[in-house]
Amino acid sequence: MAKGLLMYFDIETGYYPGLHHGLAYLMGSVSKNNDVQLFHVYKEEHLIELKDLIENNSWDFVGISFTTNQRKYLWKLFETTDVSNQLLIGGGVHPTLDKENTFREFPEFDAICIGEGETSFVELCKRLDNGKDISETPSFIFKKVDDVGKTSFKVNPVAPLMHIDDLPFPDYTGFDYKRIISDSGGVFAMMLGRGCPYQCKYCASSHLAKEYPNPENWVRFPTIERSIELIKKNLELYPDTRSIIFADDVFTVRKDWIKEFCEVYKKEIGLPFECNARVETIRDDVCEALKSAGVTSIDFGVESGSEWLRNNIVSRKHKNERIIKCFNTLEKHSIKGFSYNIVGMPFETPAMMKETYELNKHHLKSARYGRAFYYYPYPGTGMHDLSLKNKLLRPGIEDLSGYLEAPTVLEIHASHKEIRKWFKKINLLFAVRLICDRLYLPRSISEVIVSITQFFWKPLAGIVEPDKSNVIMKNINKKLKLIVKKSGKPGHSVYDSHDTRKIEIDGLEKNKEISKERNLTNNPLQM
Amino acid sequence: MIKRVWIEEGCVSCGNSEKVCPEVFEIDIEKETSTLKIVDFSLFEDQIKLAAASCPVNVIKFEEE
Repeated sequence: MAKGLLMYFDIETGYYPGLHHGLAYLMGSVSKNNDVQLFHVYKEEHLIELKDLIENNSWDFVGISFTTNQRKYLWKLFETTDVSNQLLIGGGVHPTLDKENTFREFPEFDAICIGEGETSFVELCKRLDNGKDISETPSFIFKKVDDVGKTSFKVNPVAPLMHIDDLPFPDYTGFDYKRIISDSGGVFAMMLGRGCPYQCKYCASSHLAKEYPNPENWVRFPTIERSIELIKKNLELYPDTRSIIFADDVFTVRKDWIKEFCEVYKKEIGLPFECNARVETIRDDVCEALKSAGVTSIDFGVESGSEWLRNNIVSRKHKNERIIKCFNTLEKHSIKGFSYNIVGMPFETPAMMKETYELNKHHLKSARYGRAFYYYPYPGTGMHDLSLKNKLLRPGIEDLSGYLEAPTVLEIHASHKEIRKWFKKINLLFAVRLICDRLYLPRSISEVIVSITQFFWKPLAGIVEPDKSNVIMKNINKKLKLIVKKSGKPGHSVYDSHDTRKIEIDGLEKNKEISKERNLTNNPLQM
Repeated sequence: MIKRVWIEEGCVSCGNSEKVCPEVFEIDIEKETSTLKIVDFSLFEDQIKLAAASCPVNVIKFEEE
């Protein structure tokens, strides 16, 4: 039995630290016949615990799953922890899409795992356990350093995408799932299928599909029977679950599947639920099925109100009319629609951000909650390539650990002041709508309040999006969230799961020293 | 050889077909669906088959001789 340590880096993302479905699936596969421990690294203090755990144990492998935003914490870990005696493996979206730079930036890694790791990690464990050569393990790239110090790489073929039904069930017990679920008001986030068919250029999904020998199978849903079995198994783990979030990228993409699922779900499970969808997939019959099964709200990426930006830069090919129709259809069926937006994208002007604001304020009045995020460039995605090619990214963005901190683009098409303004105005708009709804105010009154608060957006946005250094505003924000939380019904936990904040890049001096050396040599965000 | 290609109802405009084979498929924003370009399909057989196989809603159809 192989002994392994897997770490999931999830520090200061702007979200409440939550369950990672991919790692739960990996644990479900690999921990069956092996001694594998999962460490959810969600605060910097954990780095001290990790040092002890790594250095004072004998591991067959140590795996780290991380996104681009978390790299600075890996730098810190490697500054303080001796990993030289470990078989150190990187995994997750960032290493998968930025393989060469990952090895360059982190010479500590002996290997990286490309894409989904269930079958390949099981195979690695078998080989380790039997004392066999591991260098042929599928989906891994191994680094080899010869006697004279020359580095070479052994790139193995990536294992084909598996059907979800053929994978073992996810194992969430490696996470502090009881605290995570109870802190979010009894909302259990689950994932049934995998893969998104859309081509959004800021997102990793369509690029990840290309890594596999069978990309045509990228979008996968389990059978209905398997889906219900999985939900029941999860509910056994946390019987006090009050509602479910299906975190699948586009839960509604297959109309036949979602209709059949809803039919069975209402009989077998019956809990209220939320999901993610695309505006193109929302029609009356889908809404009827979802509503009858207990859907309370659906999250949509609206992203931008500028059709030009959406179609030409983001590659989301639909008209504003489609977005408006979608939200109107939801309202007709008494389903709440939530609108998520991005500001500060490459080539985005203040006029385009205003279009986003106006679309949400005037045309999506039924969007009772939502958010604006700052654009973040992920290496390997189309928009990162475009940003690099046109030299649009500002220096120092590797210090940002989420989407809520600061703009990432240079002040070419919009000033940071403008980007911050629209970020704050959109977030204030949704915060006020949410509070009004929680106070059961009629829509007409709530929209008047929205307009009044927008007039005083500057001081009010300070409460909704407080600066990290502003203790008074932070405390008011905390109390406000508590009121909203107490007045809330189960079924949505988005607002109180966000630790909203804004920090200045220049304020992160403590990270500067550690990151300097790696910044100078290897920075995939600016290469 | 592919002699006929068509798109059935239910396209979700995901853009996958356009990405896989831009010579044949194109998203029509007004019509809210993927549409076909008038080209010689036999020149793009493999890509058309891949687009059909990877269509998430299985609406891309073709007929072979």
